[in-house]
Amino acid sequence: MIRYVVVRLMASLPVLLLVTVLAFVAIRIVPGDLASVRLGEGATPQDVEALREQLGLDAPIYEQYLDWLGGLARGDPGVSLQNSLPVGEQFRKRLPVTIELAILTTMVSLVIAVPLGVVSAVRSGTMLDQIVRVVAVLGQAVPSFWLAILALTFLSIYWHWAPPFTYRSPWEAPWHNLQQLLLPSLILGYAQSALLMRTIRSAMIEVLTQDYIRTATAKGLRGRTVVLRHALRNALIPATTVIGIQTTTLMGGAIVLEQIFSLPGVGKLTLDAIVNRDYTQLQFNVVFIAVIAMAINLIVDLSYLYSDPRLRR
Amino acid sequence: MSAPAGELHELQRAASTRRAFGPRVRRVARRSPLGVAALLILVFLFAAAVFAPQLARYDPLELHRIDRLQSPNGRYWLGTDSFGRDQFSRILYGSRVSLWIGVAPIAMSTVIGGVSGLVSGFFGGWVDTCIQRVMDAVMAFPALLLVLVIVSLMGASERNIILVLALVTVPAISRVARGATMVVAAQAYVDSARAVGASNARILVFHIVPNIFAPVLVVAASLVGTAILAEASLSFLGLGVQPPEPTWGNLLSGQNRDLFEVASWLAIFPGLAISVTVLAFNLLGDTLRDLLDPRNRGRGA
Repeated sequence: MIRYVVVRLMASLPVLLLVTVLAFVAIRIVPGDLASVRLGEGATPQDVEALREQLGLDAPIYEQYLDWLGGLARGDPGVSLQNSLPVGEQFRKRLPVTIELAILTTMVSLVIAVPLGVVSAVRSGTMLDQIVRVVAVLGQAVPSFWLAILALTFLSIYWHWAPPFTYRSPWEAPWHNLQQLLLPSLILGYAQSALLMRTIRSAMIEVLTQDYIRTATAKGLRGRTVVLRHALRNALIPATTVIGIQTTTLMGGAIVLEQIFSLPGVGKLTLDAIVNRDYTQLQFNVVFIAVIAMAINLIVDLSYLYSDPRLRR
Repeated sequence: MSAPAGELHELQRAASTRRAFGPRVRRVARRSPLGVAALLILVFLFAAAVFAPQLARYDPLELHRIDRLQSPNGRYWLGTDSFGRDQFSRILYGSRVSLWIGVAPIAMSTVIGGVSGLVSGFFGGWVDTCIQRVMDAVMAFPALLLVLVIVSLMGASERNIILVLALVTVPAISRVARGATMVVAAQAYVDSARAVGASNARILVFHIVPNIFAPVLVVAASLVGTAILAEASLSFLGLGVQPPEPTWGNLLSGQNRDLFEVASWLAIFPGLAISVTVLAFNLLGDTLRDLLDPRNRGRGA
C-alpha cells in the first residue's frame, strides 16, 4: 500500500511540472507585451519599462519561467500587480470562503443525490424513477447562473428579500453568513447532484444484481438492510470519483456564482485578477487551483484503497 | 480504468454489428421517445439558426425607441429590452453563436482527441506516457477556469473561444479514444490482420477507427452541451463574444440584468433557450449511449 502511495506521488510530479508550464504559458498568451497591455494606451515608455523590469520580461522566456518556479518553490511567489500584496496571502485569505461554499454545496448535493439515486434504482422503471431521472437531466442542463438570477429576481419581487451583500465569516456572524451562502450552495448543490444521482442510480442497479445481494436477501435480511448496508456502500465507490471531480471544480472557485452573490472567494479573486490584468495574482491562482485539484484527485484515489480491500495488496 | 474499458468493449462490439443497426434504431426510437424529441428539437434549433434572417421579425440590432421594455405581445413575441430591441429576433440570432460555439470546438477536439487517443492507445510505451501526461496536466485545471483565463487574455473573440474550448475538451475525448483503441487492438481480428501482413496504417484505418467511433461520438455529443454552457457563462461574465452581437449569455448580462425585476421576460427566455438546447444535446448523448449499448439489444424487441 505504501508502495502504491509512493508510486502515485511520483507519477504526479511530472504532471505538476507540466501544470506550472501550462499556467506560465497561458498567461503569456496575451498578444503583445504584457507590460504595455496592462498599462494601456496612456502609459509612458518609462512606466512600461519599469513594469517590464518588475515582471522580469527582459530575460529570456525560460529564465523567466525558472525564476518564477524558483520563487514558488521558495514560498515567495511575488506580489500582486494591482495592490502589491503578496499573492499567496491574498489567495489564502479567500480560501476559507471557497472551502465553506464547497462543503455546503457537497452536503446539499449528497442530501439530494443519495436518497433519490437509491430510490430511483430500487424502484427502477416506475413513475418515481422517471421523475427522478428528469430532475437529474434538468440539473445538468439548466445553467446555475440563470437559476441564481431567477431566484434573486423573484425573491426580490415577491418577498422583497435579497441575500446580504457583504461577507462575514460563519464564526463571527453565523446567521448572516448562512443567508449569503444558502442560495448559492442550494443552486450549485442541485447542479452537482444531477451527475451524482445518475452515477449512484446506475451503480446501484449494477450492484443489486450481484450474487452477494441475493445471498444477503436469501439469508433473510430485511430489504432495507440489504439496500443500505450491502448495496449502497458499494455503489458509493464510483460516486466518490464524481464527488472528487466536482469538488475540484468548486475549489477553482464557483467563479460565476461567487460573482453573482458577491462572495469573496478564490473564484472572485481570480475573476478580479482577470479583469484587472493582475498577471502575477492570476498566474499564482491558476497554478494553485490546479495543485489543489491534483491533491483532491490523489485523496480520491487513496480513498479507493480504503473502500476496496482488493486494491490494498 | 477497467470498468469503463469493459463498457467500451461492449460499445465497440455493438457498433461493429452493423447489420442489426436499422431495426435497433427503430426499437430505440420506440423505447426512448425522449431521444426522438431531443433530435427533433435539435433539427428545429439548427433550422432556426440557419434561417434566422428569414424568421426574425426585426433586425436584432434595430432600436424601437417608442417600444422600450415591452412585455411579450403580438408584435414583439418575447418582449423588448431597454433599447426597444426585439428579444425574439435577438434570441434567434443568438442561437447561431451558441450552436456554432457548441459544435465547432467539439468537432475540432473530436479530431484531435480522437487521433491522439488512437496513437496513444495503439502504440503505447513512451508515446502513450507523454501524450497522457499532457492530458493529465490540462485536466488538472477546472475547465471553465482555463477557458476564462485564456480567452480573456487572448481577447474575447468567437475564434479564440472556439480554440480554447477545443483545447479543454481534447483530454476527455482522448481518454475515451485511447481506452477504446486498447480494447479493439487486443481483438483477435487485429492479430489476424497483422498475421496476413497488414501495415499499422491499414490496421488503424480499417480495423480500429471504425470501431472506436461509437464511444467517441457518445462523449462528443454530451460535450457539446458543456461547451454551450461554458460560452453562456463567459458571455454572462462579459468575457465572451462582445455586445451588441446577441448571444444567449449576453442577453442575461450587462444592462439587461439591472432590469430583470421590472422586465422578468428578459431573464426568462434566453435562459430557457440555453437550457432546452443543452438538454437536447445531453439527451441525444444518452440516447446514443443506449443505442450503442449491447445490453439493450435483446430487450423490448
